Amino acid sequence: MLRVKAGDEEALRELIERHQRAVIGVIYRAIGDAWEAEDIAQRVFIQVFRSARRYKPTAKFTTWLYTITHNAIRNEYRRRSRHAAESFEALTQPSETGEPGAQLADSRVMDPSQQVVERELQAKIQTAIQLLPEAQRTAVILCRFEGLPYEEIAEVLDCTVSAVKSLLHRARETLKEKLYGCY
Amino acid sequence: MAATDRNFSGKPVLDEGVNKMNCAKFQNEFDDRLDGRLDPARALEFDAHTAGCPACWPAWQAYRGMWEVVSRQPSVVPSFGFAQRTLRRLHEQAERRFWQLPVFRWATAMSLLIIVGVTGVMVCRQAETSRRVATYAAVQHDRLEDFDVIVSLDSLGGETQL
Repeated sequence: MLRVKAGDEEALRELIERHQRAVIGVIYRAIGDAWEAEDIAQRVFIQVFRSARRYKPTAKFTTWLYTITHNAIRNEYRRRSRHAAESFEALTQPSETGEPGAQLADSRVMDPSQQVVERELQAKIQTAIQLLPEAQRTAVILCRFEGLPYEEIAEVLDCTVSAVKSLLHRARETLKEKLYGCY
Repeated sequence: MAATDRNFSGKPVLDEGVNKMNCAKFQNEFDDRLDGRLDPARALEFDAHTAGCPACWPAWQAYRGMWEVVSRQPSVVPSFGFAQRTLRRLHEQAERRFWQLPVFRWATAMSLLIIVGVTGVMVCRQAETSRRVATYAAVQHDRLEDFDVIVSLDSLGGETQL
């Protein structure tokens, strides 16, 4: 990151390659569109490069990166809510046909009927996560998929650790209700 | 369902020491247990209680089951050349920003102003020239008419003596 701070583009390339999967993954889980996720992720890395001067080595880089990612997701949701053409349905209904960049987390071979069931389940999970309030959604994604400790999530969301705990608890209660019958 | 399984499996389902106060305390720790935030001793105590409590066991199973199901949301793999495309976009934006620098904005504004000014002056001059040409043409036309009269008089020869 210090090299990026000095304007080294090769260092930026290395940094992108190291973190692209995590950043795209977080955005994809929040918005449910693989192409949009890549587009937003590009903006995130460009923002990282531009804001590199403001980065303080005392802060953990991933926390800073996830903070920028969280803000980018928030902006995307605001942009979408402003543009009524991109309906709320499009925001909350994941594509049935599958995204070109998307890949199932479970790569085991399944028969077609199992695949349909699995796809429906994944769509249901995706919708349930996307319908969570902004902070709860980010807390769930960072906790469940990125394995971040409460302290780091608190820094990303700019709140206290107990607030994170509360966000996660409320999110889990909602998910339990929404995903009833899936577990 | 899991609690029923346990009943069928013949494992003990009732903890003699269970009371509602205890259950509430353990159920408040579901999140900590899921996220591995209980210390090992407390985690053991938690597991022992939930395994033997008919009230906590199904609740804990549902809570844990939901959290496991959530992880089945598909992941996404970045498309080939993502880093390359990001760097290209960065360059394009940098180039665009360069042309949007205030100095270039001022230069563009000044150029436009000069073009408008020069065009205005040229149009005015053109109008002035046209006006002069029209005046000159009118004057010349009068002169030519006079000249025609003189020529006509000349053609009369000696018949007409002025």
